[in-house]
Amino acid sequence: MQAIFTRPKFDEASNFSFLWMERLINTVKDKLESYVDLPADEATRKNVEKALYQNPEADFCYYDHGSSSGLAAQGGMEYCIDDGNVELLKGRICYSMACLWLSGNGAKAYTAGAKVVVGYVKEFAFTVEDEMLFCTAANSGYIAHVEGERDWAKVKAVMIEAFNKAISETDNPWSKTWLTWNRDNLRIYAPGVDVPETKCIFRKVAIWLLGPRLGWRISRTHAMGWMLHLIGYGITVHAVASELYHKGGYAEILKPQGEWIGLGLILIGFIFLVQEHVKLLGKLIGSGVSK
Amino acid sequence: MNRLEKTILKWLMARDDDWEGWFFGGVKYDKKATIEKFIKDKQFRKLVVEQVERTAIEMFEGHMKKEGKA
Repeated sequence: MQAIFTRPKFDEASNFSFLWMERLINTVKDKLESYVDLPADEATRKNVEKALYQNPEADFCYYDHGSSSGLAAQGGMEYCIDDGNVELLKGRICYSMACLWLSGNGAKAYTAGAKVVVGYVKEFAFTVEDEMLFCTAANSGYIAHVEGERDWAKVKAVMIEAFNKAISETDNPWSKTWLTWNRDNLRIYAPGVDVPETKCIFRKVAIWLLGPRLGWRISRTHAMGWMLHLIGYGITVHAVASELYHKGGYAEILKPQGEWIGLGLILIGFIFLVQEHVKLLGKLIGSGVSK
Repeated sequence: MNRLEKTILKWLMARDDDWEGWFFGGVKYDKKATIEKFIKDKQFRKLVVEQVERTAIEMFEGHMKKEGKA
């Protein structure tokens, strides 16, 4: 097992995330075949991309600031992972301790083909007084994975249990409150565990029709194209039927007209094209084409 | 503010001035900043109260589980 550890350090919060990842590395490093550590100034977009290219099998671990748009690079002025390079996470296990990443770009990482994406859908909160408890709970999932747990539902159970243990161990009600918050916002996008949520009704329909992997990849333009095509087809059928009705009633409509043959061929051709397109999309998702 | 909110505020005010504070979304809040946010930011206050209630509910549910009565 290989891993890439990315841990920027440029403000008070990242001093803690840096330290937490250091504790994580020290706990798991002996069980890893090899690892790349990108601490502080080395945690740039360029270095992260280089490490991902050079280590195609490695897990990607990231601790620091995140948002729904991506994961911050050193200095916080750019992202080391965002929509522009999220495809680099394809086929990997991604383990993060960062605010909000799984509410946007982290979900995209999963739908773009990442095996597993661990993180939080809201802000991560912690108290300084009990930072060790927060750290232990946040690190628990990757430690369990490195120690041999391959069932991500069980890894999630380990993490929930670690948060619960921390909640019971502290007397500080403020710490208890935020440990509960973090625990409830933890998500593991993996088969059989959590799936990215969406409020968009069209996305929901696409996921229902095509399954999560394909449904999440359909763009708005793509959906609009489908809708325009189907509405246009419906209008054409209606217009042709109306013309034929005025010409000779229902009997005229039911005759094998050239219009029907033409529209039928267009429909058959369209079904073939969609079938091929879905196959091609499936292949693109399944292979490393975009890598 | 309701009774629970007042109690939380009282707890925050009872922290030492050099209270180490906490982080939320990458921003550090010390005693003064937390109290200010709790008083002025209604949404934040609601979020805290919801989480406190959730923690309390779990505490009771957890105890019942321990007793084998859940």
